[in-house]
Amino acid sequence: MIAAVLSLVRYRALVRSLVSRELKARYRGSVLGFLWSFVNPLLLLLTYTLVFSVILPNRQPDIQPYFLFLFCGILPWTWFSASLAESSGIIIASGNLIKKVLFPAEVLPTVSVLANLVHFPPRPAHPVRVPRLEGPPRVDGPPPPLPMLVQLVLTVGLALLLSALTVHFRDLQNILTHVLHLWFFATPVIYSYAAIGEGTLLRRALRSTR
Amino acid sequence: MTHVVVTYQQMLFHGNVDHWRGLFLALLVGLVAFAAGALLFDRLRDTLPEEV
Repeated sequence: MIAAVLSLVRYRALVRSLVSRELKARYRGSVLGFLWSFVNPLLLLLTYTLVFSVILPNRQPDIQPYFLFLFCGILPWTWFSASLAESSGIIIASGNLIKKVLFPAEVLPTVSVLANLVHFPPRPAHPVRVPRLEGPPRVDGPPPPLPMLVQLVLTVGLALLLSALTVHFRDLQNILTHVLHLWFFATPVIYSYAAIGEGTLLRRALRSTR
Repeated sequence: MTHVVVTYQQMLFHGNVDHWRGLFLALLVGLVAFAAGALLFDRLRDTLPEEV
């Protein structure tokens, strides 16, 4: 594990260069270019807001205004799922690079994760933080980089695992699409953690950590 | 991811965090995932160029 971290640190210039190349390649030829990084999550947010505000209104009082609540969960989830979906096929897609250039291959899934991190605003708290007008003043939580760091470690770990396994078991890429779909609904992104019913399987699984 | 997302929501939306145990657990799971990923990647490293 330490060797992997050291390797990534040693090749950080290559990682930076590949992330930059990936971002340029991704938006080359499109009209909006890099703006798609912000437009995509906003459109996703708009869709969910429409569904859960108009079609199936979510009236839980603790998560109003709902679109702001949704925004806080959808950005980290988009980073996580897009990173895993991309990194699972990155080794296969970069076959020529691996065969011709001598460099540690773990750089590639890491680049996928970091390229998707660029789409994640560094401090999303400030534009969306909801001021509390009642009750005692509360101490703000840790700065956003703390959960971002935890998520980064988790995502890079899973990306390494999936990218290597998919080379040998290519069905994994298709299975992953459905697993991520299920995982999305099992994660309290579109509903609040408090809304998970007492006694449900998910609540029992998570209870010990509260 | 539940604990990571809940921490983001508490921090950004509710303005206070009481989900430290959950975040700590997520960190432990993340470290285990990273160790497992790095170990597996290292084991399969030599076979990757042949397979792609």
